[in-house]
Amino acid sequence: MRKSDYWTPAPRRSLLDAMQTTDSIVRAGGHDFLLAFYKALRSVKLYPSENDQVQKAIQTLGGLADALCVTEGQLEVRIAGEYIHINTVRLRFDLDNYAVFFHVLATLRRCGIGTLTFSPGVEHAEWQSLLSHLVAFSEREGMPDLSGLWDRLAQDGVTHLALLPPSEHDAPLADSRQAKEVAKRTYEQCIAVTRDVMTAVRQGRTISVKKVKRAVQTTVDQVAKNEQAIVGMTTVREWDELGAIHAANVCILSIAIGKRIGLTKLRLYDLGFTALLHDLGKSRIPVDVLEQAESGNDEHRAASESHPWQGVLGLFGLRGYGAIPYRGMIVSYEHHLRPDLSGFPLTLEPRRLSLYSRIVAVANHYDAGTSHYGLNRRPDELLQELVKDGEGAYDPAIVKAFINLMGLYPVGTCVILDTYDVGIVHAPSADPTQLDRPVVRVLCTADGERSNPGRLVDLTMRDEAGHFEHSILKTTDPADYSIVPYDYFI
Amino acid sequence: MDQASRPPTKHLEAIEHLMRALVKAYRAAQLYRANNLMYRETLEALRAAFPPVWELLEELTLEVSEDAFLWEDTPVLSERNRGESVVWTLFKDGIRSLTLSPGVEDREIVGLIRAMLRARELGTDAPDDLLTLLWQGDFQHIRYAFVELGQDEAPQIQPSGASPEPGSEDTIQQRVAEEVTDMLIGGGLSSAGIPQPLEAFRLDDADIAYLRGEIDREYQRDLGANVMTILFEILELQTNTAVRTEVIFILEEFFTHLLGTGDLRGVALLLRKTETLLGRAPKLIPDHLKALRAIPRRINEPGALDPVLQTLDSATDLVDEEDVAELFKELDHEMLVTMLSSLSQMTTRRARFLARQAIQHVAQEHPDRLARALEVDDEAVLLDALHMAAESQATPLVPQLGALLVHTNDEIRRATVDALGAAESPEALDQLDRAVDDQDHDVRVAAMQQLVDRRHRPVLPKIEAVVIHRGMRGADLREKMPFFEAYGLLAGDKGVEPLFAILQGTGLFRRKDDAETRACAALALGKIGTSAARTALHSVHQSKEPLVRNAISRALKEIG
Repeated sequence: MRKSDYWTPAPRRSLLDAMQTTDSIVRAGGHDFLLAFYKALRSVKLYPSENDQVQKAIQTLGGLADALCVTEGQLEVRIAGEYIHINTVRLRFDLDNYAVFFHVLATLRRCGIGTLTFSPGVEHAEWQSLLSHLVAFSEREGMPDLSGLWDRLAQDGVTHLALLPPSEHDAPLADSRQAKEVAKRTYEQCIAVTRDVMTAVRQGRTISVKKVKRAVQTTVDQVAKNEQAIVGMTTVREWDELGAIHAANVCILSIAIGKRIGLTKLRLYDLGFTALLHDLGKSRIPVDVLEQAESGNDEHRAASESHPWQGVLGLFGLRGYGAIPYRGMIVSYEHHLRPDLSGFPLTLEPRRLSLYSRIVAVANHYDAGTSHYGLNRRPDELLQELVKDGEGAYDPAIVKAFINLMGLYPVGTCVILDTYDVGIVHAPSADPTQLDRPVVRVLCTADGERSNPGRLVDLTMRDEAGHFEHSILKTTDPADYSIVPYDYFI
Repeated sequence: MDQASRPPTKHLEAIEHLMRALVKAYRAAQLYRANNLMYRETLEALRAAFPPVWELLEELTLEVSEDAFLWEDTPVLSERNRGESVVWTLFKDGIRSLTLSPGVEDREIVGLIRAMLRARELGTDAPDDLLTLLWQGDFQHIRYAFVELGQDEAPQIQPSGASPEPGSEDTIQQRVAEEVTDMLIGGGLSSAGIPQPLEAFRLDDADIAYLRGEIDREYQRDLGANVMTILFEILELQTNTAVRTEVIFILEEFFTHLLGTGDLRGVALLLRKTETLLGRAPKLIPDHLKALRAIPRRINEPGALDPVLQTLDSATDLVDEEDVAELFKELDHEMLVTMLSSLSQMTTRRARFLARQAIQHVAQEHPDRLARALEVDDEAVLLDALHMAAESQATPLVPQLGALLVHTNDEIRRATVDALGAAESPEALDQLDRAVDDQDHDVRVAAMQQLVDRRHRPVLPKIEAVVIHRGMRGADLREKMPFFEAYGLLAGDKGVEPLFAILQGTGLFRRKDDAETRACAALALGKIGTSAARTALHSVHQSKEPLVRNAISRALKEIG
């Protein structure tokens, strides 16, 4: 597209000028600005506009924006993929700014904003207008309404800022259907690749590592950009002979946990790769032995429990690797070991379990426990079990990260609301402080009427008196209501 | 395309110029190293080609066809020769459009070029292609659209197709009512109850600090060592013969891989672990024992040494002395020669030191392995081998050493004498006996000294012939003195008379020797050290020649 086709907020500063300002100054200023932006958004959401806290938050925010404008000439906040850019500098979220980063990112996305440009001298009233409209528009259902937002700002006389939609590349998927479609394609590809690998190992064939890489890379991209939809896919918990669905689920959940704890994109790939192949050893064990192990045959259980070390040998057998997949081998060996080295396989030397093994162990336990071929437990029960056992069997910090990812009622959990509506958890709350208040898809109303696809109810919403409009009364078995959770995610 | 719809010329010119600069930089990157001036110039030219484009465009989106880059449907770079084509490199791996945005010229354009070059070299079964490489590049200013090539049709996940039971409205209401009632009777919100306050699930500062530390630790781990430990655990704990055979096979392959990648530490660790396991001997069958014992000898396979030596030379500071010794301790005859040959090519002093020390260690443990090195033509290697033979007292090598006493290079014969001297065996002394007649003065003296140091009396007649009968005429003082002293040390009282005769300058048919020779005779008498020798020296201690007089004084002092 030609330059003249665009709305141009201000002349672009020369590259030389941009380079003269060190990235680190902008990065530090950018982080401070985002934190202030987050605090101001929350203050505006929680308190009336004349409240001292709101006024103070806006003042701080304005000061930081002015400082960046003075240094850089203008301040541009731009969303690109899973990143936020401040002018030309890409900010990377970290563990301690995760909530801030993703709240701002989600708010801008829900309003349909790709770029927010501030000219020097934004007035206090302009900030107030922007923040309150951002809060309001981000809570609206349906498609983002950028032009509506822009109209409101114009009516309020906002002149020092400009809004642009995301570039085509960064635009959020138009609707949840499209998001699901993309996530489903990735998921299916992941399963196909895993089946291929498992079959290849069974048949002694070589595999295409390239395909595995592509599948994991795409999954990482999806977790970064489309987390809700791809995590929703893990509600598919059907039996397949090769364990490919389980492998794909563990891969997605592990990457999502990794994202929560601040792993970089390339490290998420490392983690995803190990997670996808964590059960490779099972492909060296006859299927009937695996099946009978599930039904309690001791001899077969012993054979089945050999899969961690069989996986190590299997990974050595894979041809085509430029490098030996050490991490994959370690995770394969350790994913059933507890930190005190109980579990299996038996070990001789003391070892400290890899971080990735501990992440995969949590994802594996959750997915295997909730799967139809496994214990078929309710997701929330499994989660509570993880919390209780966390001290001994699982890394408590990783369990916390997992709960932050899934909420206390994981996606796919069937719940009865205090309105006696029955539904399934669609997504965790966007507000990290409201882990027990997910978004629920109501599938059976209180009067017994079924609806498909059902309406979404955000349990964080309050009525005019400040009370929550809906709460979860209890979790239940979806089968009792003829509900198959994954039907609503694929 | 009609003239009206054709993009503006100035846009096309700027983009075409940029494309030409890109191709030149790509070619230069193919031909030259990153620090090459030519390459750097082409890169600068490429960078300079971007700003004119950014004056006209916010970003540049190029369509990628089989043989051209297109901008707004107009070719801006056409390349017919696929072998060298930038466009084809992108196209063949599925890239269909490429978008560059300002800032790409800083670093990412180099990353793009490098990814394309790497992708070109990859075979179809390689673990990467351009798409995986570009993804790993994590570019901010480069976007691309692609088609997935060669992907199998993935099976589709289908909805369950489950349908609600008939008459379900009442049933649902009833079930909900039952569940809620049960819950209330059972004590309230039991199944939905959360065991802890919500705050407990938040990642607090301590969790964050802990996780940060864990992430750092994860990437500091020695993964290879970890996997090796796992393999040895499997080998020890799994008693199934087939499993053990497989693990040993993997260890063999692993060893070769580690050698190939120059992972010195890994190789050394594997060798140590093998030794430890063999020490524990966990009931391994003979075939397994044999195979494990053979692993260290794989260092001697053709080509095995090259990457190891390269690592040793290039990352010397990271290399541990013990690892190097461990690695090379099974060097055989042939590889020891290779290793010795490589010493002179090593660029760092520490690398040479470590390698030499390692070879020395092998030579001391197994002197016979130097045999092949004593047969090479390369004189530098030969000299190194001889020094090592000397230091390792290589008795088994005497026949090879003896053969070198006829080498044309004086320095080599001299080193051979040292090595034979160190061997100390009767056979070695016999060989040294031969060297006393060597044409080179230094070799003769060295050989004679070695023999005298070991009180090798069989050489006495030979020394006597030189010293007494021929009087060492024509020899210089540096040679005369040790020969006379040697004669004194070996002859004992029998030597007093002939030496006294020389010292006095008397004797039948003998003309008077020069002062130097007589001084040497005096010193030789001092070496004999008996009362007869002392008497002889006393009788001439008033010699008029200062040189002789001094020598007599010194000899008398030595006798005491």
